[in-house]
Amino acid sequence: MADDPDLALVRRFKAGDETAFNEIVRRYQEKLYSVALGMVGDHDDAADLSQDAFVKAYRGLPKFREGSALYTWLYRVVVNLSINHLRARGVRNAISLDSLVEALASKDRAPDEALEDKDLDEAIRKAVQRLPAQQKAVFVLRQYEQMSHEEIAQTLGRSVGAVKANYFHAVKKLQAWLATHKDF
Amino acid sequence: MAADRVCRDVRCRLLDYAEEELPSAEAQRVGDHVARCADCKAALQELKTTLGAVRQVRVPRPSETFWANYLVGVRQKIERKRSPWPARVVPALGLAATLALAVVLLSRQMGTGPTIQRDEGETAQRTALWGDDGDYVMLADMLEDSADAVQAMAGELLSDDRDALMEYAAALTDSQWTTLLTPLEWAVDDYLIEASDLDVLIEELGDQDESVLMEHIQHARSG
Repeated sequence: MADDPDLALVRRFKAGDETAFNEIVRRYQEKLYSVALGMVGDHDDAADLSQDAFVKAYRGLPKFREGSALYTWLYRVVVNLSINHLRARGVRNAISLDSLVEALASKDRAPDEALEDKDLDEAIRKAVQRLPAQQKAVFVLRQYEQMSHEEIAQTLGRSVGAVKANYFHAVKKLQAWLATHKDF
Repeated sequence: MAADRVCRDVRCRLLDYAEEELPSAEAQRVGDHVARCADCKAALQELKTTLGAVRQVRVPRPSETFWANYLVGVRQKIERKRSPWPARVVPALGLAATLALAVVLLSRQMGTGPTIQRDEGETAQRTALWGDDGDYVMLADMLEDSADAVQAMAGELLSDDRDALMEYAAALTDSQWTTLLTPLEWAVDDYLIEASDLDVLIEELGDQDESVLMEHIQHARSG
């Protein structure tokens, strides 16, 4: 722990070194942006939310307990901000996966027409956006941040079992949706 | 074990198997089954295809200019919020809401929640929902909101002292929740709230406000 670079930055910041906070931002800006983008699916919103997470971190760091891991704390802040944002935007579960599948299946599309890679990327991103918030958070942290179930559980303050269940359901929903679009 | 039951059991483990998360003995058992079961083998292949497609998604990366200006943006936001939060949060939330927030925070700080008695059936029902996720389900039920939303709120607000507030929350009446949750939600949206913030918050209250606050606390304790 004594060699933990995050902890060293936190201690410097607590001691009044503002440049330590700048280093924390640079160290985690891409990761927090990536999580926010995965959660809300929009660049501008992701930029705002990830910056807001750092603002919260700035306010909270003086009280940050050194036994905690900085990165899990930062991830938790940005995930919660993202979920709050989705709630405020009113899109949480606004479109069910089933209704999405039905709508897309009704479009004129040759049965054997495979999506181009670019289309598939977009399709997957859209499908991820339609996952319930908690499943989406788990999925994003797992797939985009390569976090273990244990790290995700610690980040989200949930049990490992609950995280695994969320991840399982998220993957199954994506699988069901993709199966209607591409002949794997 | 009947074949279909074995298949169901294996299907529940296929995701962990595909991601090499299973203990070696269990992975061996699943692997042996998949090798001789065409349906499960096909299910595993479909799963791997899905995971492969998801992992290959190319996420658009912001420009270098964006990252060059990112820290400046964070610093500008910090400067805009630099004034002490209670001076802004009190008028923003309104007195009643702020008092309600103070009731929660004060109860946490004092370690004493209200002791509202409920009938045994209701208590048993809510106790049954208690647990890692059950507490959120319970609260969501009371709030007519989604468990996800409640957990998002609680996860941040209560990360240091979740058990204490969950215990407190379990004893609240539904009407009290209606009063309490809105300001809590607003507070979480905008600020990091911790028990140590209470002293600052209390300083913002006048004498009459403190009297009202104490009435709230007495009411909560007496049920």
